[in-house]
Amino acid sequence: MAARVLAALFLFSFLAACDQSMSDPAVAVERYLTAKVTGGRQTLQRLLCSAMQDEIEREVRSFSGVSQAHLEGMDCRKDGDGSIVRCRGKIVAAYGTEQSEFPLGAYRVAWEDGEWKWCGETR
Amino acid sequence: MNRKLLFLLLFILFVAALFVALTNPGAPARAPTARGAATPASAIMAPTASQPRATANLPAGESLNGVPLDEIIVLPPAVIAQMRQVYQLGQAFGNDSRAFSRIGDSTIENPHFLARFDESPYNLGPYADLQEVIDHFQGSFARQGLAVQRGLHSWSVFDPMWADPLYCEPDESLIACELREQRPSIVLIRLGSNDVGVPESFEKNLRRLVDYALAQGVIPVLGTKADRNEGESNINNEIIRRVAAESQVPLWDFDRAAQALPDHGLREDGVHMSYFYEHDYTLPNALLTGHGLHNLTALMMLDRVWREVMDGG
Repeated sequence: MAARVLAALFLFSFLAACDQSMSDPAVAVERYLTAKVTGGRQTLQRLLCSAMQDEIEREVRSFSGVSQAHLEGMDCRKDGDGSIVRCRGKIVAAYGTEQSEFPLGAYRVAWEDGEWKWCGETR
Repeated sequence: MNRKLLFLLLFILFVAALFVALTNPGAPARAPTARGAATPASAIMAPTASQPRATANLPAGESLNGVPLDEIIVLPPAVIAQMRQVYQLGQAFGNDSRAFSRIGDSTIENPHFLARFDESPYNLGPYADLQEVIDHFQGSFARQGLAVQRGLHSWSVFDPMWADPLYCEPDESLIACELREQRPSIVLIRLGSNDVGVPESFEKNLRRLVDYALAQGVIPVLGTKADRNEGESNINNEIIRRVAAESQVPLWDFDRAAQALPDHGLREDGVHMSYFYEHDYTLPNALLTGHGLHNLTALMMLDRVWREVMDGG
């Protein structure tokens, strides 16, 4: 009996988590940027809007020429009706002994296939 | 009874969770936002059959370290003819005939690549004729610009995330940003060291970059690299040569020159070039260091394009 209750709670938690990423564009952008830094092809492909699918290889390999790429201080919030997400923080990567920084900015998102998708930079 | 109640509760929770997940209170009604600044990839020119004038301020048969210059500075008549049209188009667009840009990775970073020709001191020695091209493009040599980045590979050229947000527009690629800011007539392109193992992607991106420059009326000069990161196949340099030949754009075949140098003119890391701090081409080591030969051949390439394509000198 207790096991069933735990399973049910787990299922509920899982569904609640799914809901957050699907309904909150800021979460979708954070997931996208995280995948971009690590080169997570499946996540990038799923969260890249249809208008930009031709750029998938660029997105997957974006930071493959540098090492130790990681996000620092990422904080994304939706703006207005949610079609724009503004992020703070930066991507930091190493090349040899030196570091390069890529500040995060504002991104378009598009609602497609029942979830928010990243759709490039904007003002 | 308790069991039935528990299942009922779970069922309600499940349905509620599904409902929340599949509806979206903030979803816009309009169509998905299209990408704003997709980069045009089509070239605007067809090769021309017009006859170019006779070429070469450098004597035929001249060589560097035993390598014929015309194998390093590759600018055949058909390319000159086509590039003249590109140059004229660029002039109509308002490009600056006295400016060039560069795009590439750490191998063309300041201060070792060309910068001294703006900043002094340097001594051209037997290559004093090149002073004219230095005078003409004064200001471009020490300017690293917005399209040189450590670790840059060919696909990042069109990735707005790699562009400097202080100078570049949102969703503007680093090459678009550089050409908008500098309005050059020539862009030196040195890529490939970071594109190991993805030759198809490298070729596709390089062609896209060349087409983009041509469409902006900017003469793209493709440079080969000294390293052999891909192994003996040297495939990325072969791709650069092929793209230059097929697109009929100038080829600065530095790899060909570097073959004559100890360790290809590279430092211990096998990528970056050996130093030539002196910038004095009367010294015996001038043509035996990576940067010494790199800078000299780059100047020669600029000189040829300026004289033959832009009617300089």
